Amino acid sequence: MNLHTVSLWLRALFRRDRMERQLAEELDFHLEMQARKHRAAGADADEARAEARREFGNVELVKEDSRDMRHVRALEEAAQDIRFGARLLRRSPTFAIVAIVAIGLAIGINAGFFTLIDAFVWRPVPVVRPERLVKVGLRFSNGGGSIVFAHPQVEAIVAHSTTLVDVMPEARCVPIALRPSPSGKTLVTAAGCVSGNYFAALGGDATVGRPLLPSDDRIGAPPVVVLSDGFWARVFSRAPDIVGRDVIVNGSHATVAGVIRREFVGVRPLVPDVWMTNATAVAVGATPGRLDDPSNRFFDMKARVREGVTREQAEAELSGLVAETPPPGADADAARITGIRLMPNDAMLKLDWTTSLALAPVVIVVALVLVIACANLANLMLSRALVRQREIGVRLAMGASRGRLVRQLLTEGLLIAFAGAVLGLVLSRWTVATVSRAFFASVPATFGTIALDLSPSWRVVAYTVGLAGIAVVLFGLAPALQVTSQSLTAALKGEDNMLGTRIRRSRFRDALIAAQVAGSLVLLVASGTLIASMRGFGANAAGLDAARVTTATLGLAAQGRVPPSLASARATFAARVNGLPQAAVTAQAMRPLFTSWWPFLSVAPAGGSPSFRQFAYNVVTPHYFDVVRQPLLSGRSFNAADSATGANLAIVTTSAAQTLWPGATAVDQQLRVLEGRDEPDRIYRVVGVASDAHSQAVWDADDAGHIYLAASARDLEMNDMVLLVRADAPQPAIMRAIEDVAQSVAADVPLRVEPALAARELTITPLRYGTWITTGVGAFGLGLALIGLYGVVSFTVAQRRRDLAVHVAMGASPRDVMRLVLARELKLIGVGLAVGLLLSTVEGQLIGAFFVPLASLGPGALVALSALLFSVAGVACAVPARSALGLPPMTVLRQE
Amino acid sequence: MTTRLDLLQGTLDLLILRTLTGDPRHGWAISERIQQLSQDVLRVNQGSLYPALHRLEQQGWIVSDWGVSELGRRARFYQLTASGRRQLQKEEDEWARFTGAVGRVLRLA
Repeated sequence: MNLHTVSLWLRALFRRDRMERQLAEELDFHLEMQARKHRAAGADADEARAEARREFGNVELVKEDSRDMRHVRALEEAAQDIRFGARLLRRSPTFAIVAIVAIGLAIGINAGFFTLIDAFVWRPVPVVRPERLVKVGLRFSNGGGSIVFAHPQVEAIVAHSTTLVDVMPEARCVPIALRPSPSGKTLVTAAGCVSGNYFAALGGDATVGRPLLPSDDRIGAPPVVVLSDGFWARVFSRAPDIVGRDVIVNGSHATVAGVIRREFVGVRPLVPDVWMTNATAVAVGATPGRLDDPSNRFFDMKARVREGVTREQAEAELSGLVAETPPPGADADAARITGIRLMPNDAMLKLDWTTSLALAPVVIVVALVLVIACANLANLMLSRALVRQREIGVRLAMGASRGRLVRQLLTEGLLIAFAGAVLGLVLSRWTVATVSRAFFASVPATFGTIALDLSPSWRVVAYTVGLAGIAVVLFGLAPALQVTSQSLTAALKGEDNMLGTRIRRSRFRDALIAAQVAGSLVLLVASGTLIASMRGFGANAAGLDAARVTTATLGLAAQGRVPPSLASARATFAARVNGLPQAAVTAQAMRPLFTSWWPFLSVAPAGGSPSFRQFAYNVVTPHYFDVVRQPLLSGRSFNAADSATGANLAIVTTSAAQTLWPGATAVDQQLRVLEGRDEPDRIYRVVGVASDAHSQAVWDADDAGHIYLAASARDLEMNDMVLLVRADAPQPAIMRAIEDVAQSVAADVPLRVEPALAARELTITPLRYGTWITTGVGAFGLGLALIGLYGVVSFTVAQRRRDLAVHVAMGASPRDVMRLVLARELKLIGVGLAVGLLLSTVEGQLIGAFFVPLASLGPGALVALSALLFSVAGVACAVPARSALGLPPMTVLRQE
Repeated sequence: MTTRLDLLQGTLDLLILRTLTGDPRHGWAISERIQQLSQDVLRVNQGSLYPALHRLEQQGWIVSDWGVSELGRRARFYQLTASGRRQLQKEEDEWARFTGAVGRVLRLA
């Protein structure tokens, strides 16, 4: 087909009227010429015209044949079907709206979820040439692996690798204290530590000034930073003279070299406020890492595999560069580096086995919703099609092909699905944008700005269209096939409706009903599980009262290497905050509340042969239990006198006490604490028993209890102790007061101040969203199922009017009629519930296996949910069934 | 039935293309011309002429344009395209081979 014929074809399709007129004119001309010829031969005008017509044959047929030559018949038929389908839908707007909204919501939920997966898994990372990007990782002799490197390995790879290009080590960065000008107020700022080639390799151009360069990444190079566009706007109001400005980073001077273009995100969806090179980061203390310590692994590494080199070849070469030989006499079990593995990093997330498994439950839930929606529509379409069976019978009898009729019935479904897909796409776009905005806003600013591209890609659109196609097959094809398979004579005689003849009850439809009920139950159980879990995570459920507690951390997490200047600044800071008039009571703790970072301690009752058990522990100062309001049940708390003596004292929680000394009082017991390999065990004296509390992250199963050790002077100096402040003043006020103290004590040390509940909130938030989504989806699914049941029963009642009327005429009581109508449906609901219960149990086991902290619904709750569903479904059936009771038998019977 | 129709169609195509080698003609003129040149032996079935014309146009072998006929009335004139000329050559060759072969069989059998 060339351009000319395509244009002819398009004209035939879209300028149909004109083509038609021209064809008529052409044939008319022919007839006139022929008539003229006959007239010239002596015939009179009428005769000549008649003869010409006779010779020509059937003009309409010729027109038809000529039209066919344009190959547009199939399309014209499709257009007819679409017009017909649209007319049918217009005639029953309620059906059309319910169907389109139902399928639209179902497709929208799927598309929204797919958008998220797409953004992480398939969308290329927003950098130049993402294809050959890899994440470099280490392999260990014990089979384990790691993605953090120490400086010597980084050096070896950067200097000697020939199979990798653009090797980009990135030091792990912590938030920095940044003063925008020497006299300005310190801001805690999200920092990114990158290699000098990072921006050139990934296409991070500067809109103002220049990006970081390899020359900035040498030890001793003058410290420079580049700003993100957002930070430049927020803090410097887009000052055009930003380049060359002096900023104070953690107390050191640094120069602003430029501003990176706004679109640049990098290989992680988090954009920091400020980037600096690894060398600068080490110099100003923006990373806890140390270059001179070969055991200090703090570099992530990205790189590109050189063109023409396979990943395996590169791995082999790199493994040779970093593999360690065990030193003679070394511990055979000690893990040593054996090689390198390269993981593709062309998308944010690698879709591997574990990720897929984690995603599976959600995929199942959203797919279930689509299946339910389709099942429902299939029911409705079937009812509608059956109502038309007489008409369809007539068409079949007049010679319409079954294929054509199926196509026509499918077109109606196609229209619904298409409208639904459009609605779904719009809905998902809106929902994803809204939810993600809210979700991103809950991420602390010190993490950086989330930059995830969630606009629908062509994959999302293709997926949505594909879903619509699948939906049509699911809800449209089966009814269409079933309706057109009717026996001709029966349909014409309306025999299916006749007395005594069996209304064909399709197993297909029954299975659909059961599936809907089962699906709804599974969804309800899933959201019930989540809601129950959320209740468990409520603010007051922790056994603590942390609502009025503020935490403050001065300085970076230094991992046991606190410089003396910082230690003394912290001591002054703690004392000054304690002296604030707003602060009711303060304490310090080694680990923040509601985090997963609590270490474990192996302890045993002293005396006898020790059998050690592990407990999560914290190191706290005297007023800790007053600050968090964790009641002491017996004994006493730590006090200032203890700190002075430096005695080894411990407080255990009830659960820990019961495990360690079952049936005995724990107070004044001796606790043996297992120390490192070469050190002798230490003995602590238990001075009190505290009530149990969920002091760790909501994910942690910390029911086993905790052990608290009294902080020693050494702990206070060497550990990153968190300051906990209980105040009666409003939280923003106390936070401001604490910031002011920090500013006057140590202006250039980063300070983190937040409500104690913020950490808890951060871990709960994803779950809360999950709960909302699952509950919304579950409610929608249930609504669908109920609408479906309602529709099916009303349809059944309508179909069996005569049947029922006869029963009533012969003296059936209302009860009998209800039983007649509902017996089968109720049985189906029962079957569906049984299947749903089975699936829910499996689901519960799966969830339990992967997400420990989720509550599991007990058998009682399952039964109650089933009973609830049964009664709701029963009502949905009973309402239309009641209409059967009011049937006046004689009227109905006379109708035919 | 289909084979006979195809054969007929094929022949008709050949004849239509051949009559269009000169000036553009409208449908009636094409049928007249064929009739006239074949000395009334070949009568074009007019019911199949127009579908054939439209098919040939759809295949790009002829193009149509509206012009004014000898009567002063608007008529659709058909004209051979370059690819139509090539197609004509091909069909003429095939026809020659076909009739030659049939002739040989009739002579020698």
